[in-house]
Amino acid sequence: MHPDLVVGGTFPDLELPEAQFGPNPPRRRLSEIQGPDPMAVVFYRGNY
Amino acid sequence: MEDDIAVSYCKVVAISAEPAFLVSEYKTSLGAHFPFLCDSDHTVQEQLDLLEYTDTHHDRPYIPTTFILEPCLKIYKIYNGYWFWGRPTNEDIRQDFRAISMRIRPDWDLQAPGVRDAYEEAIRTLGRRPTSVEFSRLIQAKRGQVK
Repeated sequence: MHPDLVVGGTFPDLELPEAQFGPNPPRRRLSEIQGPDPMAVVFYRGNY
Repeated sequence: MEDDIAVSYCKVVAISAEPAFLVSEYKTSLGAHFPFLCDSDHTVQEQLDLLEYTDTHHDRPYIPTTFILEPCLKIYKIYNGYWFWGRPTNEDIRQDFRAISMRIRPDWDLQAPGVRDAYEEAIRTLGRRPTSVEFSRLIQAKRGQVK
């Protein structure tokens, strides 16, 4: 894991496409999703 | 638990390195409504160094990891889910969100000093109930925490 990812540190404000059926998925930024609220970011292996 | 999160002023987002169509199918199969983001080119995975290198069967999956974030993306807790028991349960997440909410919601206790004054002032000045953000700012202003 990246050494900056520690409790008390700041998680990077990632921007990634959001999964949707069809072309041109919108890109979402974590800070925009989070707003002023707590948030859980879940990295998962996949559907298996 | 998604229903609880949706009405409790908390957020959740899922990220994997699978192709977008697989992620969409998975999200649909779960009946989930929160965002699922796709790191199909593994750029973020490399940036964060979260490759599960022991899995040589699938295409470079993520190490199952959950980050609990306070506002402004501040890391509150990290769950290393490589082993099943490292993954957070619903109750773990509930406790984390409770602890964070107690800290960041100035109106956590309606009977705390300044809270009722702020609420009544909001009613007078806004002519309506304040939003949660407005309410928090008013309380903090009353406590001298915000200029």
